Amino acid sequence: MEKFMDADKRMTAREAVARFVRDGDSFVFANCLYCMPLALTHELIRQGKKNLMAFQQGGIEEIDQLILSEVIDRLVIAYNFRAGGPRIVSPLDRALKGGKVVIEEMTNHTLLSMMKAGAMGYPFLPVLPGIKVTDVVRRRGFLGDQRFAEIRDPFTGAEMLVVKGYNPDFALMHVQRADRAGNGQLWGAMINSKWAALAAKKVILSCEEIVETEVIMSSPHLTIVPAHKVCAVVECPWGAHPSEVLGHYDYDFPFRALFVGSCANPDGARAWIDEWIRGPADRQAYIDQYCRRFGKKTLDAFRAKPFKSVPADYGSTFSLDWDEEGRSRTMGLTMAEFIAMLGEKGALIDGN
Amino acid sequence: MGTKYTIQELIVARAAKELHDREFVVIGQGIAMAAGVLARKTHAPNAVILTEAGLLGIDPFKVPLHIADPTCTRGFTYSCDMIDIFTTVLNQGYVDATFLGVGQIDRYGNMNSSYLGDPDAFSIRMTGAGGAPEFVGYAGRAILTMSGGTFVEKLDYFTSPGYLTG
Repeated sequence: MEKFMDADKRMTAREAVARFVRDGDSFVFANCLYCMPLALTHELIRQGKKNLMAFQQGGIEEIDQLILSEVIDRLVIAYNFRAGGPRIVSPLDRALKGGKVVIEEMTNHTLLSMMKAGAMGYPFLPVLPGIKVTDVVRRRGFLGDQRFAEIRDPFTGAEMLVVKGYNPDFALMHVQRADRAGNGQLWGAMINSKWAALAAKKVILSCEEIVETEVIMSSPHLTIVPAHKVCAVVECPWGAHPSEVLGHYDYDFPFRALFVGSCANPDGARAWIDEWIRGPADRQAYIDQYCRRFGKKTLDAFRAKPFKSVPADYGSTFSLDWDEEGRSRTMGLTMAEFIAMLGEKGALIDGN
Repeated sequence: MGTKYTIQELIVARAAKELHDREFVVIGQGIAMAAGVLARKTHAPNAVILTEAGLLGIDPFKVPLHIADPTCTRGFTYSCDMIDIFTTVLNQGYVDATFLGVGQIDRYGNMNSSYLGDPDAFSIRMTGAGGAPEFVGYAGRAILTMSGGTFVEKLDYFTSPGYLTG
Protein backbone atom coordinates (compact mmCIF):
# COMPACT_ATOMS: atom_id res chain seq x y z
CA MET A 1 0.00 0.00 0.00
CA GLU A 2 1.20 3.49 -0.83
CA LYS A 3 2.13 5.68 2.17
CA PHE A 4 1.07 9.33 2.01
CA MET A 5 3.67 11.31 3.95
CA ASP A 6 3.17 14.98 2.98
CA ALA A 7 2.85 17.18 6.07
CA ASP A 8 0.24 19.41 4.49
CA LYS A 9 -2.37 17.78 2.21
CA ARG A 10 -4.95 20.55 2.30
CA MET A 11 -6.74 21.17 -0.97
CA THR A 12 -10.22 21.86 -2.30
CA ALA A 13 -12.72 19.09 -2.98
CA ARG A 14 -12.35 19.88 -6.67
CA GLU A 15 -8.57 19.40 -6.60
CA ALA A 16 -8.82 16.23 -4.52
CA VAL A 17 -11.31 14.52 -6.83
CA ALA A 18 -9.50 15.69 -9.99
CA ARG A 19 -6.14 14.41 -8.73
CA PHE A 20 -7.10 11.14 -7.07
CA VAL A 21 -10.19 9.73 -8.83
CA ARG A 22 -9.97 7.93 -12.16
CA ASP A 23 -12.88 6.75 -14.27
CA GLY A 24 -13.43 3.04 -13.65
CA ASP A 25 -12.07 3.10 -10.07
CA SER A 26 -13.66 1.21 -7.22
CA PHE A 27 -14.38 3.12 -4.03
CA VAL A 28 -15.95 2.73 -0.63
CA PHE A 29 -17.94 5.15 1.49
CA ALA A 30 -16.19 5.28 4.87
CA ASN A 31 -19.35 6.64 6.50
CA CYS A 32 -22.87 5.27 6.44
CA LEU A 33 -26.02 7.30 7.27
CA TYR A 34 -24.08 9.42 9.78
CA CYS A 35 -21.52 12.10 8.83
CA MET A 36 -21.84 11.31 5.12
CA PRO A 37 -19.10 12.66 2.80
CA LEU A 38 -21.69 14.38 0.62
CA ALA A 39 -19.56 17.37 -0.40
CA LEU A 40 -17.05 14.90 -1.87
CA THR A 41 -19.82 12.76 -3.40
CA HIS A 42 -21.28 15.82 -5.11
CA GLU A 43 -17.84 16.63 -6.52
CA LEU A 44 -17.74 13.21 -8.26
CA ILE A 45 -21.01 14.20 -9.94
CA ARG A 46 -19.86 17.74 -10.80
CA GLN A 47 -16.74 16.40 -12.49
CA GLY A 48 -18.72 13.79 -14.43
CA LYS A 49 -16.73 10.80 -13.20
CA LYS A 50 -17.72 7.58 -15.00
CA ASN A 51 -17.95 3.83 -14.49
CA LEU A 52 -17.11 3.83 -10.81
CA MET A 53 -17.82 0.81 -8.63
CA ALA A 54 -19.19 1.68 -5.19
CA PHE A 55 -19.16 -0.27 -1.94
CA GLN A 56 -21.65 1.07 0.60
CA GLN A 57 -23.19 -0.50 3.70
CA GLY A 58 -26.38 1.52 3.74
CA GLY A 59 -27.22 4.20 1.23
CA ILE A 60 -29.47 7.03 2.25
CA GLU A 61 -29.43 9.42 -0.75
CA GLU A 62 -25.90 9.27 -2.15
CA ILE A 63 -26.42 6.04 -4.09
CA ASP A 64 -29.53 7.35 -5.84
CA GLN A 65 -27.73 10.63 -6.65
CA LEU A 66 -24.74 8.79 -8.14
CA ILE A 67 -27.02 6.49 -10.13
CA LEU A 68 -29.13 9.35 -11.50
CA SER A 69 -25.90 11.12 -12.54
CA GLU A 70 -24.51 7.95 -14.16
CA VAL A 71 -21.32 8.06 -12.08
CA ILE A 72 -21.51 4.46 -10.81
CA ASP A 73 -22.31 1.37 -12.85
CA ARG A 74 -21.49 -1.32 -10.26
CA LEU A 75 -22.80 -1.39 -6.71
CA VAL A 76 -22.00 -3.66 -3.76
CA ILE A 77 -24.48 -2.84 -1.02
CA ALA A 78 -26.36 -4.20 2.00
CA TYR A 79 -29.18 -1.67 2.36
CA ASN A 80 -30.52 1.27 0.39
CA PHE A 81 -33.10 3.54 1.97
CA ARG A 82 -36.26 3.98 -0.07
CA ALA A 83 -39.22 6.19 0.64
CA GLY A 84 -42.85 6.13 -0.33
CA GLY A 85 -43.60 2.42 -0.04
CA PRO A 86 -43.98 -0.15 -2.82
CA ARG A 87 -45.89 2.18 -5.17
CA ILE A 88 -42.88 4.43 -5.72
CA VAL A 89 -40.26 3.31 -8.25
CA SER A 90 -36.86 4.40 -6.91
CA PRO A 91 -33.87 5.56 -8.98
CA LEU A 92 -32.12 2.28 -8.08
CA ASP A 93 -35.14 0.26 -9.30
CA ARG A 94 -35.13 2.13 -12.58
CA ALA A 95 -31.37 1.82 -13.12
CA LEU A 96 -31.38 -1.92 -12.40
CA LYS A 97 -34.26 -2.52 -14.80
CA GLY A 98 -32.66 -0.33 -17.47
CA GLY A 99 -29.29 -2.10 -17.14
CA LYS A 100 -27.52 1.11 -16.12
CA VAL A 101 -26.16 -0.44 -12.95
CA VAL A 102 -25.46 -3.97 -11.72
CA ILE A 103 -25.76 -4.90 -8.07
CA GLU A 104 -24.27 -7.37 -5.65
CA GLU A 105 -26.31 -7.81 -2.49
CA MET A 106 -24.46 -8.39 0.79
CA THR A 107 -25.48 -8.22 4.43
CA ASN A 108 -24.07 -5.50 6.69
CA HIS A 109 -21.88 -8.05 8.48
CA THR A 110 -20.50 -9.74 5.39
CA LEU A 111 -19.89 -6.55 3.38
CA LEU A 112 -17.94 -4.95 6.20
CA SER A 113 -16.05 -8.22 6.71
CA MET A 114 -14.85 -7.91 3.09
CA MET A 115 -13.42 -4.51 4.03
CA LYS A 116 -11.95 -5.73 7.31
CA ALA A 117 -10.16 -8.60 5.53
CA GLY A 118 -8.82 -6.15 2.95
CA ALA A 119 -7.77 -3.70 5.66
CA MET A 120 -5.86 -6.39 7.56
CA GLY A 121 -4.13 -7.66 4.42
CA TYR A 122 -5.90 -11.05 4.65
CA PRO A 123 -7.26 -12.83 1.55
CA PHE A 124 -10.51 -13.78 3.31
CA LEU A 125 -12.25 -13.71 6.67
CA PRO A 126 -14.76 -16.05 8.36
CA VAL A 127 -18.32 -14.73 8.72
CA LEU A 128 -21.43 -16.02 10.55
CA PRO A 129 -22.47 -19.04 8.44
CA GLY A 130 -26.25 -18.91 9.07
CA ILE A 131 -26.88 -17.10 5.79
CA LYS A 132 -25.43 -19.90 3.60
CA VAL A 133 -28.94 -21.01 2.68
CA THR A 134 -30.15 -17.56 1.61
CA ASP A 135 -30.27 -16.01 -1.84
CA VAL A 136 -27.76 -13.39 -0.62
CA VAL A 137 -25.12 -16.15 -0.82
CA ARG A 138 -26.62 -18.47 -3.42
CA ARG A 139 -27.48 -16.01 -6.17
CA ARG A 140 -24.48 -14.53 -7.93
CA GLY A 141 -24.16 -11.05 -9.34
CA PHE A 142 -21.32 -9.35 -11.20
CA LEU A 143 -18.68 -10.44 -8.67
CA GLY A 144 -19.53 -14.10 -9.41
CA ASP A 145 -17.69 -16.41 -7.02
CA GLN A 146 -15.47 -13.60 -5.75
CA ARG A 147 -17.57 -12.94 -2.62
CA PHE A 148 -18.38 -16.08 -0.63
CA ALA A 149 -16.68 -19.46 -0.32
CA GLU A 150 -17.06 -22.46 1.96
CA ILE A 151 -13.97 -23.96 3.58
CA ARG A 152 -13.23 -26.30 6.47
CA ASP A 153 -11.94 -25.07 9.81
CA PRO A 154 -8.44 -26.62 9.81
CA PHE A 155 -8.64 -27.23 13.58
CA THR A 156 -12.10 -28.76 13.99
CA GLY A 157 -13.10 -29.74 10.45
CA ALA A 158 -16.30 -27.72 10.77
CA GLU A 159 -17.71 -26.07 7.67
CA MET A 160 -17.12 -22.35 7.48
CA LEU A 161 -18.36 -19.49 5.33
CA VAL A 162 -15.75 -16.90 4.35
CA VAL A 163 -15.77 -13.65 2.38
CA LYS A 164 -13.04 -12.37 0.10
CA GLY A 165 -11.04 -9.31 1.16
CA TYR A 166 -11.25 -6.18 -0.99
CA ASN A 167 -9.09 -3.06 -1.28
CA PRO A 168 -11.04 -0.35 -3.12
CA ASP A 169 -9.00 2.23 -5.02
CA PHE A 170 -10.13 5.03 -2.74
CA ALA A 171 -12.46 5.90 0.13
CA LEU A 172 -14.53 9.02 0.60
CA MET A 173 -14.72 10.02 4.25
CA HIS A 174 -16.00 12.92 6.36
CA VAL A 175 -14.99 13.49 9.99
CA GLN A 176 -15.33 16.18 12.65
CA ARG A 177 -11.70 17.23 12.61
CA ALA A 178 -8.30 16.49 11.09
CA ASP A 179 -4.85 18.01 11.02
CA ARG A 180 -3.12 19.17 7.84
CA ALA A 181 -1.43 15.80 7.38
CA GLY A 182 -4.76 13.94 7.49
CA ASN A 183 -4.99 12.41 10.96
CA GLY A 184 -8.78 12.24 11.01
CA GLN A 185 -10.88 12.14 14.18
CA LEU A 186 -14.46 10.86 14.28
CA TRP A 187 -16.85 10.26 17.14
CA GLY A 188 -20.50 9.23 17.38
CA ALA A 189 -21.73 6.26 15.38
CA MET A 190 -18.57 4.50 14.17
CA ILE A 191 -20.49 2.03 11.94
CA ASN A 192 -18.14 1.04 9.07
CA SER A 193 -15.70 3.96 9.16
CA LYS A 194 -12.55 2.32 10.50
CA TRP A 195 -12.56 -0.75 8.28
CA ALA A 196 -13.74 0.99 5.13
CA ALA A 197 -11.06 3.68 5.45
CA LEU A 198 -8.29 1.20 6.24
CA ALA A 199 -9.32 -1.14 3.40
CA ALA A 200 -8.99 1.58 0.75
CA LYS A 201 -5.71 2.23 -1.03
CA LYS A 202 -6.12 5.93 -0.27
CA VAL A 203 -8.59 8.10 1.63
CA ILE A 204 -9.96 11.41 0.39
CA LEU A 205 -10.85 13.05 3.69
CA SER A 206 -13.09 16.03 4.33
CA CYS A 207 -13.60 17.52 7.78
CA GLU A 208 -15.65 20.13 9.57
CA GLU A 209 -12.47 21.81 10.78
CA ILE A 210 -8.69 21.60 10.48
CA VAL A 211 -6.97 21.59 13.85
CA GLU A 212 -3.36 21.79 14.98
CA THR A 213 -1.53 18.46 15.32
CA GLU A 214 -1.25 19.18 19.09
CA VAL A 215 -5.03 18.69 19.35
CA ILE A 216 -4.71 15.29 17.67
CA MET A 217 -1.76 14.34 19.89
CA SER A 218 -3.78 15.09 23.03
CA SER A 219 -6.67 12.86 21.88
CA PRO A 220 -5.22 10.02 19.77
CA HIS A 221 -8.03 7.67 20.85
CA LEU A 222 -10.33 9.65 18.56
CA THR A 223 -8.17 9.21 15.46
CA ILE A 224 -10.04 6.86 13.14
CA VAL A 225 -7.80 7.21 10.11
CA PRO A 226 -4.07 7.87 10.37
CA ALA A 227 -2.34 10.40 8.11
CA HIS A 228 -0.39 7.81 6.11
CA LYS A 229 -3.66 6.48 4.60
CA VAL A 230 -4.88 9.93 3.57
CA CYS A 231 -4.02 11.52 0.20
CA ALA A 232 -6.08 14.73 0.51
CA VAL A 233 -7.57 16.81 3.34
CA VAL A 234 -10.50 19.08 2.51
CA GLU A 235 -11.72 21.55 5.12
CA CYS A 236 -15.43 21.69 4.53
CA PRO A 237 -17.91 23.02 7.10
CA TRP A 238 -21.39 21.54 6.54
CA GLY A 239 -19.64 18.92 4.39
CA ALA A 240 -22.07 16.18 5.45
CA HIS A 241 -25.31 18.18 5.22
CA PRO A 242 -28.14 17.06 5.23
CA SER A 243 -26.80 14.15 7.32
CA GLU A 244 -25.76 14.85 10.90
CA VAL A 245 -22.37 15.44 12.52
CA LEU A 246 -22.25 15.32 16.31
CA GLY A 247 -20.99 18.56 17.82
CA HIS A 248 -21.82 20.46 14.62
CA TYR A 249 -25.30 19.92 13.21
CA ASP A 250 -28.34 17.63 13.11
CA TYR A 251 -30.08 15.72 10.36
CA ASP A 252 -31.91 18.22 8.07
CA PHE A 253 -35.02 16.15 7.52
CA PRO A 254 -37.06 18.69 5.49
CA PHE A 255 -34.22 19.34 3.05
CA ARG A 256 -33.59 15.63 2.52
CA ALA A 257 -37.31 15.16 1.93
CA LEU A 258 -37.04 17.52 -1.04
CA PHE A 259 -34.62 15.17 -2.79
CA VAL A 260 -36.49 12.03 -1.75
CA GLY A 261 -39.74 13.58 -2.98
CA SER A 262 -38.14 14.56 -6.28
CA CYS A 263 -37.24 10.89 -6.93
CA ALA A 264 -40.89 10.03 -7.65
CA ASN A 265 -40.00 10.80 -11.28
CA PRO A 266 -36.57 10.84 -12.95
CA ASP A 267 -36.91 14.35 -14.39
CA GLY A 268 -37.72 15.77 -10.96
CA ALA A 269 -34.69 14.08 -9.45
CA ARG A 270 -32.40 15.29 -12.25
CA ALA A 271 -33.69 18.83 -11.84
CA TRP A 272 -32.90 18.61 -8.11
CA ILE A 273 -29.37 17.42 -8.93
CA ASP A 274 -28.87 20.28 -11.41
CA GLU A 275 -30.06 22.77 -8.84
CA TRP A 276 -28.29 21.51 -5.72
CA ILE A 277 -25.26 19.56 -6.98
CA ARG A 278 -24.25 20.72 -10.48
CA GLY A 279 -25.34 24.33 -9.95
CA PRO A 280 -23.30 25.38 -6.90
CA ALA A 281 -19.54 25.49 -7.62
CA ASP A 282 -18.63 24.01 -4.25
CA ARG A 283 -20.01 23.34 -0.78
CA GLN A 284 -19.79 26.97 0.28
CA ALA A 285 -21.89 27.95 -2.74
CA TYR A 286 -24.38 25.19 -1.87
CA ILE A 287 -24.71 26.51 1.69
CA ASP A 288 -25.03 30.10 0.40
CA GLN A 289 -27.78 28.95 -1.96
CA TYR A 290 -29.50 27.16 0.94
CA CYS A 291 -29.41 30.35 3.05
CA ARG A 292 -30.75 32.47 0.17
CA ARG A 293 -33.57 30.01 -0.44
CA PHE A 294 -34.59 29.01 3.08
CA GLY A 295 -33.00 31.69 5.25
CA LYS A 296 -29.91 31.51 7.43
CA LYS A 297 -32.18 31.00 10.45
CA THR A 298 -33.41 27.72 8.98
CA LEU A 299 -29.85 26.45 8.66
CA ASP A 300 -28.92 27.73 12.13
CA ALA A 301 -31.80 25.78 13.64
CA PHE A 302 -29.89 22.58 12.87
CA ARG A 303 -26.72 23.65 14.71
CA ALA A 304 -25.83 21.28 17.55
CA LYS A 305 -25.98 22.24 21.20
CA PRO A 306 -22.88 21.08 23.10
CA PHE A 307 -22.75 17.77 24.97
CA LYS A 308 -19.09 17.56 25.99
CA SER A 309 -17.10 14.40 26.51
CA VAL A 310 -14.94 14.45 29.66
CA PRO A 311 -11.35 14.76 28.40
CA ALA A 312 -9.02 11.80 28.92
CA ASP A 313 -6.00 12.63 31.10
CA TYR A 314 -2.89 11.26 29.38
CA GLY A 315 -0.70 12.39 32.33
CA SER A 316 2.17 10.41 33.83
CA THR A 317 4.90 11.36 36.30
CA PHE A 318 7.02 12.45 33.29
CA SER A 319 9.90 12.16 35.77
CA LEU A 320 10.93 8.56 36.20
CA ASP A 321 14.40 9.68 35.26
CA TRP A 322 14.63 12.13 38.20
CA ASP A 323 15.95 11.33 41.67
CA GLU A 324 14.71 12.61 45.05
CA GLU A 325 16.77 15.78 44.71
CA GLY A 326 15.19 16.48 41.34
CA ARG A 327 18.37 15.54 39.46
CA SER A 328 18.23 13.54 36.20
CA ARG A 329 19.85 10.15 36.56
CA THR A 330 20.98 10.13 32.93
CA MET A 331 22.01 13.78 32.47
CA GLY A 332 23.19 14.62 35.99
CA LEU A 333 21.33 17.95 35.74
CA THR A 334 18.42 19.36 37.73
CA MET A 335 15.35 20.46 35.74
CA ALA A 336 16.33 24.13 36.33
CA GLU A 337 19.84 23.48 35.02
CA PHE A 338 18.44 21.56 32.06
CA ILE A 339 16.03 24.38 31.15
CA ALA A 340 18.83 26.91 31.49
CA MET A 341 20.96 24.79 29.16
CA LEU A 342 18.13 24.52 26.60
CA GLY A 343 17.81 28.30 26.70
CA GLU A 344 21.55 28.66 26.16
CA LYS A 345 22.01 26.05 23.41
CA GLY A 346 18.57 25.92 21.80
CA ALA A 347 16.65 22.75 21.03
CA LEU A 348 18.81 19.66 21.24
CA ILE A 349 17.10 17.97 18.33
CA ASP A 350 16.72 19.67 14.98
CA GLY A 351 13.27 18.88 13.59
CA ASN A 352 14.66 18.83 10.05
CA MET B 1 -61.86 2.14 26.89
CA GLY B 2 -62.58 4.66 24.25
CA THR B 3 -58.93 5.64 23.88
CA LYS B 4 -58.06 5.99 20.22
CA TYR B 5 -54.88 4.53 18.80
CA THR B 6 -53.44 3.78 15.39
CA ILE B 7 -52.58 0.33 14.13
CA GLN B 8 -48.90 1.31 14.31
CA GLU B 9 -49.25 2.28 17.97
CA LEU B 10 -50.91 -1.06 18.68
CA ILE B 11 -48.06 -2.92 16.97
CA VAL B 12 -45.45 -0.97 18.93
CA ALA B 13 -47.18 -1.52 22.27
CA ARG B 14 -47.67 -5.26 21.62
CA ALA B 15 -44.10 -5.77 20.40
CA ALA B 16 -42.68 -3.89 23.40
CA LYS B 17 -44.27 -6.44 25.75
CA GLU B 18 -42.04 -9.14 24.26
CA LEU B 19 -38.92 -7.60 25.77
CA HIS B 20 -38.03 -8.45 29.36
CA ASP B 21 -36.02 -6.41 31.82
CA ARG B 22 -32.22 -6.91 31.86
CA GLU B 23 -32.20 -8.21 28.29
CA PHE B 24 -30.03 -7.09 25.38
CA VAL B 25 -32.09 -5.96 22.41
CA VAL B 26 -31.08 -4.91 18.91
CA ILE B 27 -33.40 -2.38 17.33
CA GLY B 28 -33.55 -2.14 13.55
CA GLN B 29 -34.90 0.58 11.29
CA GLY B 30 -38.45 1.87 11.44
CA ILE B 31 -41.36 1.09 13.70
CA ALA B 32 -39.33 -1.60 15.51
CA MET B 33 -37.18 1.10 17.12
CA ALA B 34 -40.19 2.50 18.94
CA ALA B 35 -40.93 -0.88 20.55
CA GLY B 36 -37.48 -1.13 22.14
CA VAL B 37 -37.57 2.45 23.36
CA LEU B 38 -41.09 2.04 24.79
CA ALA B 39 -40.14 -1.15 26.66
CA ARG B 40 -37.14 0.56 28.26
CA LYS B 41 -39.24 3.56 29.28
CA THR B 42 -41.86 1.31 30.91
CA HIS B 43 -41.43 -2.27 32.13
CA ALA B 44 -37.81 -2.97 31.10
CA PRO B 45 -35.74 -0.04 32.47
CA ASN B 46 -32.59 -2.17 32.70
CA ALA B 47 -32.79 -3.48 29.16
CA VAL B 48 -29.67 -2.72 27.11
CA ILE B 49 -30.50 -1.33 23.69
CA LEU B 50 -28.00 -1.54 20.88
CA THR B 51 -27.97 -0.75 17.20
CA GLU B 52 -25.76 -2.15 14.48
CA ALA B 53 -24.20 1.30 14.05
CA GLY B 54 -21.90 0.37 16.95
CA LEU B 55 -23.93 2.01 19.71
CA LEU B 56 -24.48 -0.05 22.86
CA GLY B 57 -26.24 1.05 26.03
CA ILE B 58 -28.11 3.90 24.41
CA ASP B 59 -30.82 5.84 26.19
CA PRO B 60 -32.83 7.52 23.42
CA PHE B 61 -34.84 10.54 24.51
CA LYS B 62 -37.25 10.03 21.62
CA VAL B 63 -37.76 7.41 18.93
CA PRO B 64 -34.75 7.44 16.60
CA LEU B 65 -35.21 7.97 12.87
CA HIS B 66 -32.35 5.64 12.02
CA ILE B 67 -29.74 3.41 13.65
CA ALA B 68 -27.18 6.22 14.06
CA ASP B 69 -29.60 9.03 14.97
CA PRO B 70 -28.20 11.64 17.43
CA THR B 71 -31.21 10.72 19.57
CA CYS B 72 -29.17 7.60 20.37
CA THR B 73 -25.80 9.24 20.90
CA ARG B 74 -26.54 11.66 23.71
CA GLY B 75 -24.87 9.45 26.28
CA PHE B 76 -24.25 5.75 25.64
CA THR B 77 -21.92 3.30 27.31
CA TYR B 78 -19.99 1.54 24.54
CA SER B 79 -18.89 3.02 21.24
CA CYS B 80 -17.82 0.18 18.97
CA ASP B 81 -18.41 -0.54 15.29
CA MET B 82 -20.63 -2.71 13.15
CA ILE B 83 -18.19 -5.64 13.02
CA ASP B 84 -17.96 -5.60 16.85
CA ILE B 85 -21.75 -5.74 17.16
CA PHE B 86 -22.08 -8.75 14.83
CA THR B 87 -19.11 -10.68 16.24
CA THR B 88 -18.17 -9.82 19.84
CA VAL B 89 -21.76 -9.10 20.88
CA LEU B 90 -24.13 -11.06 18.60
CA ASN B 91 -21.99 -14.10 17.79
CA GLN B 92 -21.03 -14.49 21.46
CA GLY B 93 -24.67 -14.88 22.40
CA TYR B 94 -25.27 -11.63 24.26
CA VAL B 95 -28.27 -10.55 22.20
CA ASP B 96 -31.54 -11.83 23.71
CA ALA B 97 -33.96 -10.24 21.28
CA THR B 98 -34.14 -8.27 18.07
CA PHE B 99 -36.96 -6.09 16.83
CA LEU B 100 -37.19 -5.95 13.05
CA GLY B 101 -39.61 -4.74 10.43
CA VAL B 102 -40.69 -7.17 7.72
CA GLY B 103 -41.08 -6.80 3.95
CA GLN B 104 -42.30 -10.26 2.86
CA ILE B 105 -42.54 -13.31 5.16
CA ASP B 106 -43.56 -16.96 4.94
CA ARG B 107 -45.19 -19.12 7.62
CA TYR B 108 -41.81 -20.26 8.99
CA GLY B 109 -40.55 -16.75 9.58
CA ASN B 110 -38.19 -16.71 6.59
CA MET B 111 -38.05 -13.20 5.21
CA ASN B 112 -37.53 -11.28 2.01
CA SER B 113 -36.41 -7.67 2.24
CA SER B 114 -34.79 -7.51 -1.20
CA TYR B 115 -37.12 -7.97 -4.19
CA LEU B 116 -40.86 -8.09 -4.86
CA GLY B 117 -41.44 -10.30 -7.88
CA ASP B 118 -38.93 -12.56 -9.64
CA PRO B 119 -35.49 -11.06 -8.82
CA ASP B 120 -34.55 -11.21 -12.52
CA ALA B 121 -37.69 -9.29 -13.50
CA PHE B 122 -38.71 -7.70 -10.23
CA SER B 123 -41.39 -5.08 -9.68
CA ILE B 124 -39.73 -3.40 -6.67
CA ARG B 125 -36.26 -3.51 -5.22
CA MET B 126 -36.79 -3.18 -1.45
CA THR B 127 -34.18 -1.87 0.98
CA GLY B 128 -32.05 -5.02 0.94
CA ALA B 129 -30.69 -7.27 3.64
CA GLY B 130 -29.05 -4.79 6.00
CA GLY B 131 -28.38 -6.52 9.31
CA ALA B 132 -31.53 -8.63 9.39
CA PRO B 133 -30.17 -12.01 8.17
CA GLU B 134 -27.64 -12.31 11.00
CA PHE B 135 -29.82 -10.73 13.69
CA VAL B 136 -32.73 -13.06 12.93
CA GLY B 137 -30.41 -16.05 12.82
CA TYR B 138 -28.31 -15.36 15.90
CA ALA B 139 -30.41 -13.35 18.38
CA GLY B 140 -32.24 -15.34 21.07
CA ARG B 141 -35.65 -14.23 19.79
CA ALA B 142 -36.77 -12.22 16.80
CA ILE B 143 -39.82 -10.01 17.24
CA LEU B 144 -41.06 -9.09 13.79
CA THR B 145 -43.47 -6.31 13.00
CA MET B 146 -45.49 -5.82 9.84
CA SER B 147 -48.40 -3.49 9.07
CA GLY B 148 -50.79 -5.42 6.88
CA GLY B 149 -49.81 -8.05 4.30
CA THR B 150 -50.04 -11.84 4.47
CA PHE B 151 -47.84 -14.89 4.94
CA VAL B 152 -46.78 -15.91 1.43
CA GLU B 153 -46.46 -19.53 0.30
CA LYS B 154 -43.10 -18.91 -1.34
CA LEU B 155 -40.81 -15.88 -0.94
CA ASP B 156 -39.83 -14.03 -4.11
CA TYR B 157 -36.28 -13.89 -2.77
CA PHE B 158 -34.83 -15.42 0.39
CA THR B 159 -32.97 -12.76 2.42
CA SER B 160 -33.18 -13.82 6.07
CA PRO B 161 -33.43 -17.34 7.47
CA GLY B 162 -36.22 -18.00 9.96
CA TYR B 163 -37.14 -21.62 10.77
CA LEU B 164 -36.48 -22.65 7.12
CA THR B 165 -39.08 -25.44 6.54
CA GLY B 166 -40.42 -25.67 10.08
